[in-house]
Amino acid sequence: MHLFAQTASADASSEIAALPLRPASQVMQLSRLGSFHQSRLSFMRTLVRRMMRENWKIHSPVFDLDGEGYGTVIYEVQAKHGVYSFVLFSHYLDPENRNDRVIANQWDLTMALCEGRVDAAQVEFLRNNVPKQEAGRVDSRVFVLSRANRSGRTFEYVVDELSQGRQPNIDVIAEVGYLYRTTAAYGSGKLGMADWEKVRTKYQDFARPFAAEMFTCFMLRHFSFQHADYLAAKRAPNTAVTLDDNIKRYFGIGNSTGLGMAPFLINHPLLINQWIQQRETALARVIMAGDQGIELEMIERLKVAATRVIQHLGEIVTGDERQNTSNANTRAELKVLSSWLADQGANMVSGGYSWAELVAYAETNWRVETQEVINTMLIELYPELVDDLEDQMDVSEEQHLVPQMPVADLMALIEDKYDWALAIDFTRPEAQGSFWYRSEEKMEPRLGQTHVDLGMDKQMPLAIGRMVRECYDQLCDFSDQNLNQNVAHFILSNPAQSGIVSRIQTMGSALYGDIRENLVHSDVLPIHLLRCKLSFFGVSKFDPRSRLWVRNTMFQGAPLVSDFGKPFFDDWQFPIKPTTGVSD
Amino acid sequence: MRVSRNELTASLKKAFEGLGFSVGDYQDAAAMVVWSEMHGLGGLSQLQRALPFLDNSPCLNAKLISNTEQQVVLDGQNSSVLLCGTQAVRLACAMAGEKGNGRVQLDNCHNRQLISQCLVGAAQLGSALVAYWQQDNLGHKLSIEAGAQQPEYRQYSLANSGCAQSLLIFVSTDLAEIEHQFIAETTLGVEAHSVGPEAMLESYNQALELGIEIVAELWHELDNLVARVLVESTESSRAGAGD
Repeated sequence: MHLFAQTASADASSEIAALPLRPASQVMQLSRLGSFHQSRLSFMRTLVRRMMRENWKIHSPVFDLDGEGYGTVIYEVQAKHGVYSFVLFSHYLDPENRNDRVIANQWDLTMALCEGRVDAAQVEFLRNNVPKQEAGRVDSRVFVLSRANRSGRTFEYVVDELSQGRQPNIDVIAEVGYLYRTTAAYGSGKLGMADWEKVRTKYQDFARPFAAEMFTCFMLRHFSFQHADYLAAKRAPNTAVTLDDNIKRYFGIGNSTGLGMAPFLINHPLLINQWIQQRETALARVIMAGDQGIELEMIERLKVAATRVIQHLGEIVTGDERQNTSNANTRAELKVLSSWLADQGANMVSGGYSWAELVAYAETNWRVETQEVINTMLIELYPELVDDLEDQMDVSEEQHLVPQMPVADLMALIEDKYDWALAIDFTRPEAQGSFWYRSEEKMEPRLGQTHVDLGMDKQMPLAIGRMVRECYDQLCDFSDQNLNQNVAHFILSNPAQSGIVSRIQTMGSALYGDIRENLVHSDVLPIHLLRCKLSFFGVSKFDPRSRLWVRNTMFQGAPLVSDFGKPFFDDWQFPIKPTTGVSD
Repeated sequence: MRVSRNELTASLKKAFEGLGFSVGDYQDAAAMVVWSEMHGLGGLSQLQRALPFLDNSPCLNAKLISNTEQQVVLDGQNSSVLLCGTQAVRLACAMAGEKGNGRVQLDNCHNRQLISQCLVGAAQLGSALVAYWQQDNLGHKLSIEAGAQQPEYRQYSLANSGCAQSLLIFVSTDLAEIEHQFIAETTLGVEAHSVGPEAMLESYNQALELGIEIVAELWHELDNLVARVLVESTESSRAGAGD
């Protein structure tokens, strides 16, 4: 019997017990989470598979742009379970006002994803609010609100080339990878929009985490091609050509992500645990499958994948020294892997080599970045073992305090699951060298320096390790004076501890639990938090601009709307330059 | 204006934080108000009445007065159920976990109508509960089965004005058992008004579909409280955002 058939028939908990899952102590280290890459379970991947499989129909009943490309476009989306409207406004923006930060208040494009078809009154309502973004209000018919700015390096260049009858140079495109970049995609009820609960329960097409947000970015990408083609034709109707489909597929949507994403990970520990658990389950299933022998075809596919990742990493342009070094090291180690697979592939098959041995070798000899690339590539090899997990990525983020738990049990739970927090010496100044706070500018989360920056008295409760330590110390004091008491009585005496106690009890029963990092250490690298979440979104080409924000590319390599309904092999991860088109 | 559940919850958490609530308390308090409003029990109007009091009082939680085999008595210290309610319900549940049933009397406590969500949370963990309080010649009773999503709310006309600011909480795993205990020691008047689980669910679904109606004045008031947890933006602080 095939492994997948075996595992699918077992219930989830017995499967978890049987799988060779990596321990939380290994997986939940922030530096490892910050080395994750897109996988088959990432939200862009699962969305694209769904759209392709269900052959969503997308057309634009309104494409009302002037000669400069400004105006209104409405796309109507016929998905499997419903009709949706993607409404986009294109505005003139003085280049001096083009700003990717969340504090910006003008953009080249603003857009909204709405339920059903929109009528003239709703379009007018959206026109009065969507361009204002955070300063406007929408209603519960809207799922997502987003905005985007043109790439200063590629947009005009591509339009110029097309208008002169030429395809753009691939090498120029490779440096950027997109025509537009989005700077925010708000959903989940912000600014009056539909609650996630409504979307999840009523709109099956978008009932997976961030599916509506990812679709919005996919539609932005679709518009970016139509916009470039439209402007080229307007400028030079007699000579313009349209962008080649292979080049279009190589274009993604740019994204800038800053600290705003970091608190989300800390404030949604059950959701993050769920995502990681599914990814680890996928990896464990694959490793287990490898225990039954590896076919030569799998070795060949892994070799092809390694070659592709080596090229992909080599094509990333970033000014960040740390990322460049990391990419170079990963490429070097993957070249060793690639040679090894070429030389020893047949022997690996005949000698009963397993994926577990490869993973163990990588963990001993190669860097974390390389280890996680290998894990990602292995997951790609077995869609039939992995893809059913895409329906397990959601979970209710509810923490419950268990009042009857004996205080001694709570202390034991902390010693077991939060040993990493108890190991931190918070008396050292650097252990509390930073603090998180919300700025009055759009409530933007920021990282301050302890005793230097304003706002320590208003810091956000993101230092989970320190809060656990404080709770544990108070539990010790309480238990010294109150034998055999329960948590309810501890909370009565220490009411300020109820929040962290709920978290400890809830996460204590989660497989992976909390991220194991002191997030207020002076050397904390929030970019790892961003990278972790972005990997689950499915982005690629990480380009850190500092330790606090990162540029990346969404949907680069993904199919086009015109590909819907055509045969599809889901392998657009780690995009590389297409061979079509002009190159230096 | 209408706001979403997520939006209202996020705003309330920060507003309560601005009022000085601790982490667990502001999470609980936000959940209590939102639940009550979405299920048609007037959470926002009660909050609006409570805000001036909350803003001018210290954030006091409940204090243990006595702890016997039969019941625990807590002093709410003239504070709001937003700060004391979860403590009382948790204590009652813990008592029930040890002894089979629990009875907690929370004295000197305000905004008792907002207790509903605490009961629902406990019901989700396997407890059946009854909460009872008296106010202005009315007896108010909330009861919920173990595992249920919505309680039943009943009001009774009382001949005399009720005892001052007390809230009684009964917990067991069997609602019939605590209803029996409750009726044995309470004189209920004529039923004046009730809201059943179906009506609460309908109200919730409508609020989820259309958003939650909130008066602009209260939303503005919450914004002002939220502003208390925000930090002034400076050139230096912008560097802390990645500039």
